[in-house]
Amino acid sequence: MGNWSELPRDLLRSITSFLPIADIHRFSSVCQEWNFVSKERTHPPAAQLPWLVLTDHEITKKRIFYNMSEKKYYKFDIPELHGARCHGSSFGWLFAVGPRLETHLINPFSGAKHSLPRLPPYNVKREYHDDYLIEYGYIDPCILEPCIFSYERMQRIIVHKAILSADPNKCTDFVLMIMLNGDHRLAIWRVGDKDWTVFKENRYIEEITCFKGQFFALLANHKFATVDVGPEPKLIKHKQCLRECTDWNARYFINVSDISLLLVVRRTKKDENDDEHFTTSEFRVFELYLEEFEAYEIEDINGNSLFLGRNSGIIVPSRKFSGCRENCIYFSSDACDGLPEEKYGYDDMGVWSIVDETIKPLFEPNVYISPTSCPIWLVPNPW
Amino acid sequence: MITLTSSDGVQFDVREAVAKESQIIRDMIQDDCVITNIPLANVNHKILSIVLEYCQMHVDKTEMEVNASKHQTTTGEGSSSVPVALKVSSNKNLNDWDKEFINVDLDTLYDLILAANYLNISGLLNLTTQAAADIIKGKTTEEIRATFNIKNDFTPEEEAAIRKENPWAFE
Repeated sequence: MGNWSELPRDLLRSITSFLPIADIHRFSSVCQEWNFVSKERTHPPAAQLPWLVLTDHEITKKRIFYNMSEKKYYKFDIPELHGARCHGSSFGWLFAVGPRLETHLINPFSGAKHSLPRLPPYNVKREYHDDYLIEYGYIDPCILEPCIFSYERMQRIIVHKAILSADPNKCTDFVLMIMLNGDHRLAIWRVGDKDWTVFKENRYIEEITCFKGQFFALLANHKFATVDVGPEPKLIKHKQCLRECTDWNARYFINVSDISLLLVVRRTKKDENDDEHFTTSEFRVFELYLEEFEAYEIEDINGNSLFLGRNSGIIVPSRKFSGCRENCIYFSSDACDGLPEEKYGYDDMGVWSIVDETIKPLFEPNVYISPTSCPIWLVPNPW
Repeated sequence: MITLTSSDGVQFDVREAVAKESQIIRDMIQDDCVITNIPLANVNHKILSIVLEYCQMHVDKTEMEVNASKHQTTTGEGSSSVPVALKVSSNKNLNDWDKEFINVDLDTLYDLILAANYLNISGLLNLTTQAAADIIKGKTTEEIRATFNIKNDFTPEEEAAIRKENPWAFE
């Protein structure tokens, strides 16, 4: 039999180019020669469908990830994720808020981490106690009345979404933008900043994205704006880009080309039998042109599929992945954290077909969705 | 016609187009247009016959497509979508054929990878290395070693250190 451990390195490299990330690690542990080749990292790992970041394991505290392509769970032991809530993923990085409101950017596949300033970002006097947090002037900065928050609640509600301007693997001056819950105001952190900078403008933000270093925001009533993240961050150039669906429940941007974004709107409905249970009933997809700030409805997405939720929107060429349906939206829960999630968990997940306008379950059998942790799509980006 | 001679002396007469699927043969023929007999020192007759089967199939398919589109142009009938549809279905057939073709034992796969590399046939190299990757996928380290008959040449400490870098992949 041919000696596979002594196959010329060029050919071993070709083989690794077809291996996804988990298989590359196992490949590297077979023998010295294969280990050498995999350590060169000449190829990025073969693409897979996005993974789902789930909850902590109750006892070990390891974070559970689900790999859709393999239909397999993996457990990552990352101390910064113990008891943390993840509020976003961009470029394969998670933004995690810890039990005492400490924050981190974590790339679970490379092990890289950045520590960011503690939350909340509001520039008010505050005291961190063992079991609670006191803020002075939270309601009205002029009246320094103390407000007491439990860490647990604050951790759950403070951030709605977080996005990055660029891949921290590849650049050193990225910006993290967070959309705060409640008034949906924006705050940013730039590399080197000692604290968060909160936008002065008190406008309700529906969705944010960053394309080639430029941030964009969608305001209430579908007003589209560019965002300046300079020394005094502000929203500029508002224009209503879409007149329909303004009363729908959630919006998502997906970067697809140099000239346009996809804008997806999602409607949720109350369960017939239970007023407290909301599930997704419908999606519509629009293409938003950056030149004219106008959005037009589209009927299909060229055979691609979208992965939406708290993550930065992901577009995937379905044909490249067996088991991935074309022209579909794979949605994870985006429940507002104030809702009684303990009762249902983040169970609003499924696959919406843009062509048939039907919803199918995401998993068979169902993946366990924790009541305390919103599942987030993530594209592995180890190097 | 061109004659290719395997390392164990077996001669194969093939059409020039088939031989030219190999970049190395294409270069030889371009350099010297009277060349008719090419000895291949690194490929035995068993592997060469499989390689040529691959080349023959891929040349035939390409020629069929060209003919079909020529036919389309000369007759000028039908809508322009016909050749595209034909191409899609023929690509699909070819992919299915490739899949069936590469369903070989690991010894043959190993030799085919080396032959595809030596003869520089990029399609076959991709097909064979992907087939090897597909066999690796989803297996544990121990299963990969057993399948490919690879000896573990790490010390226990080295192996533990490698697993410790990404323990999640080994649970």
